[in-house]
Amino acid sequence: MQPPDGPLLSIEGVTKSFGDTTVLREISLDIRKGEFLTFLGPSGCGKTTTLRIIAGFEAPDCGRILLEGQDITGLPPYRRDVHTVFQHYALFPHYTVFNNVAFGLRIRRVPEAEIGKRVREALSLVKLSGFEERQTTQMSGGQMQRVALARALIGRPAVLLLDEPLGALDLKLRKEMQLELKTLQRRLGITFVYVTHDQEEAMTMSDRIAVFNKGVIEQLGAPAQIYERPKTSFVADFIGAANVFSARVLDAQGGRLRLRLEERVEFELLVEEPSAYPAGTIFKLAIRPERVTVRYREDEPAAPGALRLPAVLAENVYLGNASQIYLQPFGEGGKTLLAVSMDSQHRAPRAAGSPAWADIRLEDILMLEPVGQWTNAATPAETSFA
Amino acid sequence: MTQTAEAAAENLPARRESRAEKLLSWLIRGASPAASHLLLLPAAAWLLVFLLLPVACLLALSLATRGPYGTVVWSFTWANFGRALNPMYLPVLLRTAAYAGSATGLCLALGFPLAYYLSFYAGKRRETLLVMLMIPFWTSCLVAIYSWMIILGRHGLLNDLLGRLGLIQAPLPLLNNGFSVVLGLVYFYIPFMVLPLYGSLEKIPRAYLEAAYDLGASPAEAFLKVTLPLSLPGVFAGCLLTFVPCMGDFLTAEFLGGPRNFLIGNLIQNQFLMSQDWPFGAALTALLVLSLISGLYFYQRLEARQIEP
Repeated sequence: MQPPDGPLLSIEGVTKSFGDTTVLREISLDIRKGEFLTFLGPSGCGKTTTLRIIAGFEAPDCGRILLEGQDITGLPPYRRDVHTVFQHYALFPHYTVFNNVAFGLRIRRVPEAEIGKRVREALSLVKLSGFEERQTTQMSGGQMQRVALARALIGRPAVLLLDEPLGALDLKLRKEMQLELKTLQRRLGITFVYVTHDQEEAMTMSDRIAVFNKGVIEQLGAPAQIYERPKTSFVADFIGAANVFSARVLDAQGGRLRLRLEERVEFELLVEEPSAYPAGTIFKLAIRPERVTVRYREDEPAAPGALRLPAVLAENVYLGNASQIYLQPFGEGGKTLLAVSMDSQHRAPRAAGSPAWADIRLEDILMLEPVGQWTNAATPAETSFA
Repeated sequence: MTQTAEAAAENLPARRESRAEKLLSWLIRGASPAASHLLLLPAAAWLLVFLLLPVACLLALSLATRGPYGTVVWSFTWANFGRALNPMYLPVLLRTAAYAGSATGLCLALGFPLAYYLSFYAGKRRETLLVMLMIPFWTSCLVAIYSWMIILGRHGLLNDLLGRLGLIQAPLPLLNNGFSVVLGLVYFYIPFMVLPLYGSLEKIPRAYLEAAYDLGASPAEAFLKVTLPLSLPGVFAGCLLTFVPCMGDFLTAEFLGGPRNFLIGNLIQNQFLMSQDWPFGAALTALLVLSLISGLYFYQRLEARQIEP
């Protein structure tokens, strides 16, 4: 995928503050030619600011932006070969659809005949043929979004920036547009940098996802990688659901960690880099709810090498397509373990308090960031998970 | 928990509405279209008694004749209009239009950059600057005019200052000419230009400008293609609010214009107060109002036309 001539767009050590608030802390990121990269994160995480810095609407306090190897940090937005699809479309209300889409070409003094041809092409690309003379003020949100897309695409930018473009649409339309955008991006081969706070949207469309939190990129990787191998509890929790627990390293020998889960359950785990997990350190670890198998009889066999946690059933919620089972493996007052299962045996309501066993395969236990050192005196600070 | 709350709510005694409250509710809710129209009543009554009736009287008056000693003789005649359309008065009308037009143009030229600054760059100083803009309204019109006379007079402050600085040999004729009238008009009416301009500039989402820059427009192009067209409603409104009162102005011309620069407003004023010829004054007024209304009509047609890219 990576072309031999390096990344298309590079963000190098970009820091940005507004007043006393630092919104970006030394962000570095390479964007490949032709990829669909998503900036994912909660509001205020710096994803939109990063996009605005790429577009040229904000200047970074330090760091550089390189487009095709050229430093564009100091260039004004109108000299950058990137176009933006704005969150609230920002269509010019005094222009028709045609004139909105033609705007960029008119600025570049493209001959009118060619403008006409290219506008019709761009409109057919976004399925708005025949809407040329419409006033944008009379259009639905979905249609306006398409006009905004056509307007940004018509100049064939090196990079297309999309700032939560589907945020204002209803769920059904958003799903449709997600697939359409992805198809369009593949067909045109234009690099998309997409900002969203919706993890499902990011998973649906992206080649790679950069997960932003509090002004830093917590993790960068393909959707599957982000989901299967989250590096931090924030990523594990933000993308999909996760049970996050703490685990103390008792002993690390020959790639095998001996861990104490929530100061209650001891087990052994094979890791790739045992040196990263020194004894005495407390780490966070995550378990995906759909990777937890719930048994109600102890004699049911677990998968080989799975960790079996005896627990008490706290609650069983039937959702139609799946069931949510809340277990208490760490005693009353301890953390709850959520399991999600499509197994039909969970459809029937079951009395809270009945015994249950949670089977977790060791490869489904995701080691995350360290949270501190274990001291004998105090139990580790409770870590909450939403 | 919720059950007890509901029970408690049920046990509360129903609050009695007073009669006045009931009436107000009935009006405010607009229960029926007829009732909601009642909200228009106070303003409509005011306009009927103090605007429409006087205008009707004026129109009736314009068809009457002047009797001896300035009395009004109620006879039906078009003679006043014939007199008013006499080419003799044409220069007055043209002068008025020219002064009002120049004042409006000058207000626009001075006001647009000011409004632009207020909207785009003033930041926290905006409120202060807007209040300062309104200060001329707080001083009595006559005080302001006399101040201008003191400043502009032959031996006024300005001539004195320029003379002391050695910039002029003889005093400049600053008062009693077109310049002083237009200056006065601009002074009085510039807030009427700036406020609508500011309002329309303020209403332009800054994302439109970002979109223009993003698509390759330089700041100048973005201004010409986005900011300016979107501010046109404010330009139109500002020009109207300035031009119309300038056309009817008589105080500025009376005091700053001298005897040779009287405007249509002064002419009308003279008919009522000096010549005691109320019917003729009424005919002149009717013509002025009529020409302004027809002018406005064409102006609005122009405004309604779609703005070409």
